Amino acid sequence: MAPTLVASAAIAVLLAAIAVIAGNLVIALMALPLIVAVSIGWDRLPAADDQLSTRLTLTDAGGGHVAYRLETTLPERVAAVVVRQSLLGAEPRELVLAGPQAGELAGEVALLHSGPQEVVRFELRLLGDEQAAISLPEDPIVGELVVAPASTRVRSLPLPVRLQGMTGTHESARLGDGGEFRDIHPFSPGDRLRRIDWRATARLGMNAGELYVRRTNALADATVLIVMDSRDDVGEEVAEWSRNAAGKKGLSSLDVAREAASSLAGAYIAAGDRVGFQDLSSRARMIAHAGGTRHLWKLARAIEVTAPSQVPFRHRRAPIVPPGALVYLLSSLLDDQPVDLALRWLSGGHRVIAVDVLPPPRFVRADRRQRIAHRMIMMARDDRIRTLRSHGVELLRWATDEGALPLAARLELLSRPVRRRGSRAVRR
Amino acid sequence: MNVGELPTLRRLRAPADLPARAPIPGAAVRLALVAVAVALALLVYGPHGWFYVGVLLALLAASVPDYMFGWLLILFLALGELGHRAVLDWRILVLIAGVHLLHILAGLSYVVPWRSWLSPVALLAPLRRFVVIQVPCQLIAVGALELLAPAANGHRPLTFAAFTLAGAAALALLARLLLRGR
Repeated sequence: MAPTLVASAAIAVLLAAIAVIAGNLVIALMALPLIVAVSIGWDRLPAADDQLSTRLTLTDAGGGHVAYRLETTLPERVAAVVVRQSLLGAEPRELVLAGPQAGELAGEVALLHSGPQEVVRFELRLLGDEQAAISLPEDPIVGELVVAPASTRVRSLPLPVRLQGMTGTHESARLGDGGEFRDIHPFSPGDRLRRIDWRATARLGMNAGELYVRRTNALADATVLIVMDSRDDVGEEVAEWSRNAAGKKGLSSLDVAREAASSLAGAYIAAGDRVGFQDLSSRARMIAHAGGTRHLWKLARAIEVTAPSQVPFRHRRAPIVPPGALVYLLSSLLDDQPVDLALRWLSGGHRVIAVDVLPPPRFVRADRRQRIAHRMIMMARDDRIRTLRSHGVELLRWATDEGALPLAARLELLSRPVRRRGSRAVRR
Repeated sequence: MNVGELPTLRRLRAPADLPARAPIPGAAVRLALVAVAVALALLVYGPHGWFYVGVLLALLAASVPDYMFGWLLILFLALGELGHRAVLDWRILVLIAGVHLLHILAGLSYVVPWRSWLSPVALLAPLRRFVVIQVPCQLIAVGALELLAPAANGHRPLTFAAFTLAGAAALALLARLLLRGR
């Protein structure tokens, strides 16, 4: 428990013994303060049954900051505390504080990422008088938080090839109620009487009893499946791709993916459509398509708790997609598996939009080897993107690169009506 | 809780400041240990021979404090006094204070990680205790050296009796403390 006290005591006894044996007054006088110090240190060791109690609270400090406060009740006679503190998973820093100073430790952290994350971690080691280490490091005290992603307002919503149902907010090609004017048509059995257009009947009717009705298009809703590839979480700082330190990697691909997923889900649900969600790396995070505000809450929760799995996913079959659904595949496209899945869904007749969530790279601190490796990885990625495009998968880059159209304009382009020719989508 | 302005690729901010004021680097304790140890080795052995062993022990005490070289150094310094005659002069008084300081610095080096930061308040308690222990010890040292130190002709009438009594008392005190069930 207190090795420094044991060592001091041993040396003090040894010095006293040497002094007595050799009759040396100076050695005896040298031993004297050690004996007194050890006696005080030993006498003031805290009782073994005294327990440390701690309470860590995290509160929203506004402006993307979170405030932490660790309140500690130390056992009696603790002289100092070694505090090991780590913020956002960064390298820990150690402080040696006097006992009363460690009673309340508070600070603020700027949140850098969305999703589940360890905001702060404390490890405490108690010291008694005479620098006696009286406790091993206590169990870590960890403050974790799930941070909701930012949301982008999506005004233009791409639609699937086929709309479904007889209600919704999108104009259908079928006859029905609620939509825009379609045509004037001779009355036929089954037409409702309130649809008779008397002006048109007066103008066009040749015989008595010849009636004309106004016909309208039906409304329909879209089914959208948002598929997130959460295998990797790479940041904009290329030099940090291998270390992946939360505090240094910058905006990460999963930050962008979470933001894109929650923005799209919110926009489609607001438009009355049905949205499903699937995380390719976790079967637990699969939500069947549905609509409504409560469903949006479920989607938002599933999206914000998405965390990198680090392991490649293996699917014998592509995840089942509702008939006629529009599939958004959110991926950094750094490996082949999402590409295979996208092509399988495309061959099943679905419209597939691959959302590229890789943030624009930054090369601060990146050495020559890292730059070359990045270039090679990007070349392989470009090949995958070319393959996707050549098969008819549409690509939407969420992060805005320099000189590129703004996101709203790119979404507007994707929202234009699509005409199918063979397996390829041709934009009018 | 919302992360805020992610789409604009905001720059990273430096982590928040430390939760308490701790301006003294942990390495300073080890530097002080080396400085005190080298000074004491110079005082006891002079600038040659065994002095370099003292320097080596000081460096070991500072670089690997877990191996308790600091207290080995105290023993090494004490053994250096075997060849000296006890007389009342500043050298002995400095040595008594220095050995105590060495004990404190070795203890601090053991518990304070070298990359840590210390609060000055955390050093106040050891400093206060050092003064509280040293004041009577120095007075006792002056008195003892005045009364019990052998004369120039080597005659020491009270020394053996006093030593035996003091050593026995110290050992009894330590034994009582160590054997006391906690």
